[in-house]
Amino acid sequence: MNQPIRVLGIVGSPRRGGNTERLVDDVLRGSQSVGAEIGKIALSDHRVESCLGCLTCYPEGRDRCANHDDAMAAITQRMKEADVWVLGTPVYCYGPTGLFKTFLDRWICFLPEVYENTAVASVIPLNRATLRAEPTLTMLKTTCQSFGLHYLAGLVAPDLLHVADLDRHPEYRVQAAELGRLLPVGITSLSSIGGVS
Amino acid sequence: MNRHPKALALVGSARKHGNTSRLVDEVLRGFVELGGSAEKVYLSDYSIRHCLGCPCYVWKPKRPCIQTDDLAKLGNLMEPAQLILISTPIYWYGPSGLFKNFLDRWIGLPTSVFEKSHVAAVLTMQDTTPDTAGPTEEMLRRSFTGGAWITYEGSLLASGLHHTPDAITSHPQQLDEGYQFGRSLAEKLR
Ligand SMILES: Cc1cc2nc3c(=O)[nH]c(=O)nc-3n(C[C@H](O)[C@H](O)[C@H](O)COP(=O)(O)O)c2cc1C
Ligand SMILES: Cc1cc2nc3c(=O)[nH]c(=O)nc-3n(C[C@H](O)[C@H](O)[C@H](O)COP(=O)(O)O)c2cc1C
Repeated sequence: MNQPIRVLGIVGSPRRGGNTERLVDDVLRGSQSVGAEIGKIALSDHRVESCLGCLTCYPEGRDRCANHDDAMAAITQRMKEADVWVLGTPVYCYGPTGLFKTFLDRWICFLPEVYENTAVASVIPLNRATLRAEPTLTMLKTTCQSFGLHYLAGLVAPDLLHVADLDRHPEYRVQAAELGRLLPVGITSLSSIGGVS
Repeated sequence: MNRHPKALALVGSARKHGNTSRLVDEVLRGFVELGGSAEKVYLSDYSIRHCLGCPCYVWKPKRPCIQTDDLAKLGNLMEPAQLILISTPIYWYGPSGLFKNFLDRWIGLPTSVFEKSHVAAVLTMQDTTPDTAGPTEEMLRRSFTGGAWITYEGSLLASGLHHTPDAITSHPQQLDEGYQFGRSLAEKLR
């Protein structure tokens, strides 16, 4: 296990430099500070079409969408190369953003066995109180569980509406960095529990 | 009160002849039988870009969304309807991305679109555990209650639908629940 742990941030807010991206960046910097290799994808930079629900890729799994020849193939490749995904989405209408959900739907053609050792953390900013992130958090967690992904932890960051609001909450940035530092450790302990090399 | 309430149904699955669309048909059949009129459109026929998070909701005075896709067309269809029947299959314990992109954009529509509107929802899924639809039901309920304009009439869930698009045809009881739901909505709105 001399290879550094690879942590990939995925930003599901359409606002570049917004609360989600800044907090994902803090997580990534935290991971980097303990030796992880980091990368980031902002979904708003890519064309990801919505799932047509044809289900030709399910339940056998196809590893590739039969309909869309879009950025999802390249995004999937980078997800395969990572050990940990940091999934970020703000709460929009009590759920993840449409941008993020469109991306999530496309997991339908993932082959679960490819991601057996992948771990996931989430970052969820919202304007109102923590409780309102509940449906979003449940959607993310249960989806990860149904894929056999190791869902490690989520950072829910309430009271953030505008981009500058994060400056009033330095504690979130501290928590995000701490989460980032723990992710590679979480992976190592998970690996030893699961007997994975 | 209106002897002939109008419904607009918006299908949130890209499968036009899928379970969601068929269940919506049953709801509308019940609705029309009690004197309502109905129109059904497929979200997948419209270009709906994801919300850009501008944020339009703090602009004063309110301005329409800056994006120039088909959302305004959908708003024009929604405006004269007393019942807006939304629908989505459950994808990963949530709504479809197609539907969610649409929902996120409501905030950028003129408020006249929703004035005195009733909203009801149709959900379909493969699982038989009701919990699977829980986050979506809660998302919709919380999104549509507490506002000044919309009355939320709740959601109807059909489950146990295997992945073929016509799975629901072998669930006559759930189709009937759709029909009854449509009748009760028409009764309420008349
Ligand atoms: C269309 C839309 C819907 C939103 N819905 C909610 C909501 O239901 N609850 C909430 O607390 N915040 C809501 N917000 C606020 C965002 O969650 C908040 O502004 C967040 O900080 C945005 O993150 P970002 O800076 O990464 O884009 C909404 C924002 C938009 C644009
Ligand atoms: C991307 C995707 C994700 C799905 N996720 C779930 C799920 O989490 N739970 C479930 O019960 N069914 C799930 N399904 C199955 C559909 O909800 C079900 O087949 C539904 O009836 C499809 O509606 P339609 O025929 O109108 O397209 C999923 C289907 C797709 C294509």
